[in-house]
Amino acid sequence: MLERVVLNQSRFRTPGVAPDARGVLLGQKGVLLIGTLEGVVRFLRIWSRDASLDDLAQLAIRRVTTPLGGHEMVVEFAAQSSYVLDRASAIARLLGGFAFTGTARHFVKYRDVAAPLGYDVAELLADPGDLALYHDAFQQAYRHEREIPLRELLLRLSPARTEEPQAPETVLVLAKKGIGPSLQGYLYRSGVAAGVSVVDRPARSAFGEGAERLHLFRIEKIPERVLALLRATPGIRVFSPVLDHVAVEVGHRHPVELEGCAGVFDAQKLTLFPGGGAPVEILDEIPPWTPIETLSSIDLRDPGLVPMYSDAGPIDRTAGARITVAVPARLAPSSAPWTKVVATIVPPRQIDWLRKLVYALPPSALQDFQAFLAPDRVVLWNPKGIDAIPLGTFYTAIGSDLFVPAGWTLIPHVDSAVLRRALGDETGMFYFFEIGEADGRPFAVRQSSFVPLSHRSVLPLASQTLVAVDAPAAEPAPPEVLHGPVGTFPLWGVPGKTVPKEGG
Amino acid sequence: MKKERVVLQKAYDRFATRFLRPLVAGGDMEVGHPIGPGAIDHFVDAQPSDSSVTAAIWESLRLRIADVYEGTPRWTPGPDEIRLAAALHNLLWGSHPDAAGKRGARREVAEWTEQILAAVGPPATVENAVLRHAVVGRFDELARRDTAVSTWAYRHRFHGRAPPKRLVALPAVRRIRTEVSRVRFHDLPLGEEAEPLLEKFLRKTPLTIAIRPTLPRPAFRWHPEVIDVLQDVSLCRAATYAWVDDWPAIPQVAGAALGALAHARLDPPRLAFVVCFHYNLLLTFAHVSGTETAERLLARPGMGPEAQLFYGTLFSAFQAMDALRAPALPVPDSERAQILQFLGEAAGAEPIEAGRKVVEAAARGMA
Repeated sequence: MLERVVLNQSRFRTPGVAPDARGVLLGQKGVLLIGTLEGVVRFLRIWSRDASLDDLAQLAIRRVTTPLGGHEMVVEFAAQSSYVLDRASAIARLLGGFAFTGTARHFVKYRDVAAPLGYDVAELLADPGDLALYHDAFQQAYRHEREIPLRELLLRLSPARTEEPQAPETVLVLAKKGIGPSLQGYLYRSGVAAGVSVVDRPARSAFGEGAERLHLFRIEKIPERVLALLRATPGIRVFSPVLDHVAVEVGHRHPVELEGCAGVFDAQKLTLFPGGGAPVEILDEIPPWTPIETLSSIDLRDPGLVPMYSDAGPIDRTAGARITVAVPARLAPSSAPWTKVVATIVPPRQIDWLRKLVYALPPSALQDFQAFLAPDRVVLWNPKGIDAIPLGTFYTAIGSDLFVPAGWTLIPHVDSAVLRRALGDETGMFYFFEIGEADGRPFAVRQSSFVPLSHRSVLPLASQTLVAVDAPAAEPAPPEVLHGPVGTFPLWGVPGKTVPKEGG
Repeated sequence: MKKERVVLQKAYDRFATRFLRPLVAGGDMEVGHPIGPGAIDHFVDAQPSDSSVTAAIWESLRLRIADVYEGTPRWTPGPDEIRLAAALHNLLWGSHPDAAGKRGARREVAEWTEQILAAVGPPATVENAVLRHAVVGRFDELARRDTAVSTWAYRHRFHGRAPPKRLVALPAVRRIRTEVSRVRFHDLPLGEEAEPLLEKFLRKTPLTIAIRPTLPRPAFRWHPEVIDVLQDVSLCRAATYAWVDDWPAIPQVAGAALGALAHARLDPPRLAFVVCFHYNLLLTFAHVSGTETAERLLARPGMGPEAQLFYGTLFSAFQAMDALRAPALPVPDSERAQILQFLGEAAGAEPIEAGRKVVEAAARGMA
């Protein structure tokens, strides 16, 4: 059924094949016939240990059916060279499969020791179906049943438990919402260099409670003891990155070497493979990392971290003495351009101007502006910007609820979350720092006290109630005809019997 | 000359108070002397001497117009509306008992009516059409009050007149029995001259034809004026809902009108409108009926060939409508399939073929 290709042979019955530089018969594609999906996974696993799956260009895994209804799996890929196909063929042989080459639908057996330059078919099948494979032991036509995307296959494979020889250099730690802040404090106190971010896990069901908020840490050079503690803590999963955007849980190994699958996963998303059969976590974007030290208090209250000495020798820690670098926050001029100007404080002398301006504002502005009326000032806040009202002192926002005068900034340059904590961390409060006020003493306004400016812009109006004219409620009854007196000669005396003459 | 004008104004006051006002506002309507063509020129420019009559007409017209039209047309009857009311008056005069047997007079009044109607052109604007319908659209609801007085010896009949008081005095003592009956407009003996005049009269108010398709005479037909007036979205909606309200009778009436389309010689765009109107009728019907569409669609007393043609046209229109451009029936897919099946079974092969020809001719108009 197959004929061996001889050196310098130039004509072949198999369509779309030609000898390459080494004289090996090669089509544009290689096809591996492997009986089961497990065999395909094994092939990928073996291939990826020493080479990248990206070398198998245009890789397609298909389930095919024979005319008798049997199912088999085929792996198709671009035969870029006979070296690639040699390696694939060797692995397939190891797994009990066969390798073929061709271009469109007819694929002939790839070379082996019996025919070093490959095989050519003696006669093509009349009905090749979607795929016809020619082997020296059989020839078979197949129909495509469905394609299994490689990414889908990889996401469905669970990492298997294994023992890491040593702690990975970098780990990603996914912590539940309740544990995140404590873990952040623990890492900071332990002197571990880490970045943190908050990510949302999409809801897995429309009936669930929506997206779940998680803390994600990136820890460089994690100490063994910390790693062991984190792995043993419920609610925390530790991952070891295998690529920039793919990580597998520490102590587990994905069946396929994911290092060689960079092109399969979306580079804009973070894919985490947990062990124990848990579903794969795909985070919509790789989060920006914030160093945990910027989120922690700048007040070094723990004397245990600071060696405490005085001229007279070590200070007695039990006496409650402590050293601190905490400083009061204060306003300082800033040369940075004004951004997020979202509030203004109108002083009493400009209130009349504000009243006149209210007449001119469009309805959308009246609805968007939120006003807080204090006895000595009016605070206006509009998250979209306050360009429409050029009155008062403009304020820019730091974070979502701290406001400083435009052109000023707060020093020291700490994160807004730190400032909030210093202010008592009461939710639903807006804090405004004013120029000239005592340092670090902003005034606070409860957010719920703001109401739309439109609600404040009209005085009570006296109204006059008008009464509707009585209208017939229903269709009037149809008229009834009664005949008036006409007389014996009905047309006698009828006005307008004749049309009057013009001008008459 | 002045005396003549005084006489004409008195006649107009009588006409406005006793005929025009009841015509639009309800109540007892008096049909007396016919209106001559010479009086019309005065009538169309005259105002009632009693301003309360104008106010009553104005208010009733406003309510009647609100039923069919969302715009705010001129609400006072204009020359065309006065002429149509006068023509209706003269048509009703044909049933006057004093006119019975007076052929010469009846013929002369019929000529007057024809002259009056000839001066009325097709409605120039949508507002004109609405106003005409508001003034004379209820003509078929008119009824004449007849009274029969029975004594021990005789039975006296009074057609549209009250019996003399002496006749009905002391009814208990004299055992007098009085029966009052209402003779509907279409049962009135208007005379043989009235039949063509009535059709001419109706052609002058096409909106009435569109909204009252089930009038017994003249039968509904797709006249060009009717199609033109339905081009207005508001009026088309009013007519469609009126058809849905009259449903059990509609398949027969609409099928007969579809069958007469060949004689109407409509141009292709108007024919296209007729088909679209039927499809829109089906949409509205399904919208109003909800899940009972299929059952209501075929709730019919009997299935004549006209109704079969109607269902065949609906079936063909349903199939021919471009699924991307025409709105789909507002019912679930299963119900939609059931409706199509019902329409197909109700119509049968030949009416579907006839309906298909109508729809294909209309499709040329759409293109």
